Amino acid sequence: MKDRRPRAPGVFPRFSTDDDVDREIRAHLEMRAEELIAEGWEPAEAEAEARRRFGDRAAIADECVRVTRSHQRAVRRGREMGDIVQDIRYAVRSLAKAPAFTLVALVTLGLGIGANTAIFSVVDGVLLRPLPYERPDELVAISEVSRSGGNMTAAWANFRDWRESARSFQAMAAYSAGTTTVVGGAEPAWATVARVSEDFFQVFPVVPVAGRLLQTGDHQEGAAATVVVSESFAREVLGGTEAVGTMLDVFGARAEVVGIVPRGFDFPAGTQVWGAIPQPQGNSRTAHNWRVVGRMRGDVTTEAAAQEVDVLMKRIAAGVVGEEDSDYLAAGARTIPLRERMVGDARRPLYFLLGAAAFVLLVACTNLASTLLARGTVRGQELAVRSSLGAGRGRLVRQLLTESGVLALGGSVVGVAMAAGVLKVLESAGRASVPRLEGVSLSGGVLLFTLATALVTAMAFGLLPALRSTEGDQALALRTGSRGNAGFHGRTWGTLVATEVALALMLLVGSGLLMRSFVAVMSVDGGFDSGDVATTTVALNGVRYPEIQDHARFWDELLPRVEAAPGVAAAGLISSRPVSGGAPDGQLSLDGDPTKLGTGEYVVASAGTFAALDVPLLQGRLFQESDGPDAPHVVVVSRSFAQRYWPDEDPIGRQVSGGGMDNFWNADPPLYGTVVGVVGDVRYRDLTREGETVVYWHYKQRPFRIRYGASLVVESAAGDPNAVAAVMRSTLRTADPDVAVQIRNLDDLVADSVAQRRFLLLVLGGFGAVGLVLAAVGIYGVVSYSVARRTREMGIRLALGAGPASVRGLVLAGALRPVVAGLVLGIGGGLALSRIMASFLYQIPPTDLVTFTVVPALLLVVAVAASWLPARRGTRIHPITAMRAE
Amino acid sequence: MGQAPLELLKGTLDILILKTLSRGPLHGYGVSRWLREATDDAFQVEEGALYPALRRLEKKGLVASNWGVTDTGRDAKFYALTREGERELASGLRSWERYAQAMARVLDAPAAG
Repeated sequence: MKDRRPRAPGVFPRFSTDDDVDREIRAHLEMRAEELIAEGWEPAEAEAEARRRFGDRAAIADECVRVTRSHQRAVRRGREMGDIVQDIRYAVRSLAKAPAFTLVALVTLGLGIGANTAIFSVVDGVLLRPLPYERPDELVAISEVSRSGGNMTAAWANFRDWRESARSFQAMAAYSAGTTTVVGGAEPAWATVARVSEDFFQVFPVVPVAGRLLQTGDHQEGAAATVVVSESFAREVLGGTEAVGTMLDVFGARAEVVGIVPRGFDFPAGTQVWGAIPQPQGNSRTAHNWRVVGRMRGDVTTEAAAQEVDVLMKRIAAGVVGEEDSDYLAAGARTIPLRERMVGDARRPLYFLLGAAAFVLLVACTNLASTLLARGTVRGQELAVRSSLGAGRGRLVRQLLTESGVLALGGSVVGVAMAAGVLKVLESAGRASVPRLEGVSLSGGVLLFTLATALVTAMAFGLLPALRSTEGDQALALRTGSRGNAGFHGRTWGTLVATEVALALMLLVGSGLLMRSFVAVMSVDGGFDSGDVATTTVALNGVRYPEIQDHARFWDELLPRVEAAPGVAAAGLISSRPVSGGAPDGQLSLDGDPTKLGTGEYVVASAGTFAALDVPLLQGRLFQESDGPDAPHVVVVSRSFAQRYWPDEDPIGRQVSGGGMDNFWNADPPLYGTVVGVVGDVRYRDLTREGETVVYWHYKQRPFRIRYGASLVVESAAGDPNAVAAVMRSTLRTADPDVAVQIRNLDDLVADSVAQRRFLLLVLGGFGAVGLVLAAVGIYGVVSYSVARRTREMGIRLALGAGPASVRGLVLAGALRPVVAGLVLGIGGGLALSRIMASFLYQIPPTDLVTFTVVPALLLVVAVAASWLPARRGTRIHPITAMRAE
Repeated sequence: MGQAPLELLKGTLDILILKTLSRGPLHGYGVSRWLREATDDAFQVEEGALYPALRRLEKKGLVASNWGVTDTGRDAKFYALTREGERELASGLRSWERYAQAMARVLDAPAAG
């Protein structure tokens, strides 16, 4: 203990610095005068002469004071630095002396800090990281807004008017992306492709690594088809930069590769091939086919741009003739930063998880605070000794806080290591549901966040114990040899345990609600049987199937072959897969009356589709061989469609138009389909949306919507979808070697559709488990300590004849009081907070009775177990040994 | 004395002080008197200028100070050379000698023509 080491003598003098300087100068003057007098001067003159020779006394004195003061400051700073170094050394040494405590503390902190670091990494990478494009703040996404307030993609004519009239933009482009087969490389490739409008590469000014970008000429009506490809597509599929000039069959045409865009540019959504939107695009104001992206002028705010496009859209809508009654005519336009569009609905779950991670950290902090408090009490003697040697309370608090700081830093090292691992798990778990997750990493910003978290944490879990452990009469503690002021801590501990239990309970309630929702979603009957079905998208090379009917003919040949293949129970085609975001929907007219309108999703199917998916026929019949292209068009409708438009009437024989969804849309009068059957509802959007109104058209009669691809669905006779993969592949290869086959089990697609729920459940469930373990460890630690302290008391009780059970009961009762308080607190907090989870839940109310009963019960059981173990230990030792304790 | 006093070259005061203190601890006045006598009062320097210089040397760790009592029973602040001060003095002297020799060689050279 060098706190009171001797001060350097001259630097911190006996007198104040002013005084010190003044005395020194006075001594000089006196001695000088004496010398002069000895030389024969008159005393008065001698003094004057001494002063004259000395110079400007005031200035010199000031200078002396200044130099010495700055010297003193430097010394003090150095001493403080030395103290800190010493504190740290001391902290490390004392932590090393208690390895079990240190290990538990580091792991506890590591979990708390790791959870926060991992989630913050994801938040940073997904939500905060700027888009990897030039001047990303200028980029906005524009969509139309329906009368009910929902977002719609833009109709071409509307986009065209925005682009021509809006002044807020440097450039605006429309695009549409999808996946399809691209032929021309060594193998037919399954690729993400986008059609883009003229200014797309003005919005995204990339520099091609070879060739050129799409230019105005490429976008003109009748222009030769051209595409640009991504660097990776050129390398992996086309064999390098010589790819420029290669011909590719894509977008239904043979197109020349004119350029390669640099690595890193893949907008939208991982696009590998970009081609021009074919012209002309017509004048419909309600055919919502295009996403729109704009680059604002540098001096325009998003709000101003949004305002301009919205007003523009309203004016356009007011002037529309012919489509003015359509539900699909926009009521306005919405403009948001492109980053927000790309993040989509991942924002809320991620911020929610960040909040939950903070709870984990709080549990870790309370846990450590109570453990440190116990340790502080055990160290009462040591602190008392230091105090009696002259260390002030401030000094001791600083020492204890340094110890927490060292722990927090150590914990953040552990935490960052854990976060790196957790991040890998999150990345693979979230891939299907969280955008921009690839490339998320522990960046400098994240590490800074971790460091800040660690320091705040150190204060949070260190300050209370530090203050508590150093209060009271240290000298008394030393004299009596007691363990310091242990008696004070009962209530503080109770509060900490209660807080910890409450926090853990809230985390577990959240996990419980998500888990119950997940079970509810997974037990939803989507209206189809996915377990035995394999599927692949089939996108035919439009160059070799130029006519719409060519596509129908391909399927005419393929389907019987697949159905006849060994192991196949049923096979069909479908234009939109179940639980994949929904089929295209539109307005259609009913019963041959153009003014009687309805809305329905437009699905193209074959007779075998319903059998393959086990969609039940409720009424009438399915498609049959005789429903050929020249026969009267027939439709099958979903139960909800029939009920909605023909309640209490027989839907069979009624009429439905295709709306604007196919090549018969402008036939006059519209070419209606006659309802021949009603089938059970299938959930095309996701498992949680029921009652979709669907109209199924027969592919032989209306193949328009399958020309860019449809899915082959195959039911396995053996019940195992993997069993039919091989025959699907070989049959398709025989039918057309240019088709890239991408077989998935329908079950996997269902799993993908709940990926975000699963991700949320996985992470929050993990947090809940960590909270539970930490709470158990915390309770165990506190009870162990209190038992150790009360060994003697328990010994006396046992000696006086109390049964071990009653003594244990006493300990348990004492331990469980704060636990119960925490449970009550946590239930209250849970009820208050679970409402923010409402949008993540399905069929489970945020105040779900089951969750709010089972979770507290579980926590109580864990708490009892954690208390019982040390309580039992306390009553097992012999009364005499116990009484000798302390 | 007769001759005009010399101006003290910058930085040389420090060396002079260190050299003075190398003979043993001294208070400020003692340093000033010894300097005066050893140079025969050749330098034109205010006696007070010594004190900020001493404190700067102290800040640099070249000297240490302590209050004590003089032979005549008077309270005075004594300064002593630290080990670092001794090293500084040695190196200061070496460079000073080289400087002086170089100057001397130039100035002793016979005039041209």
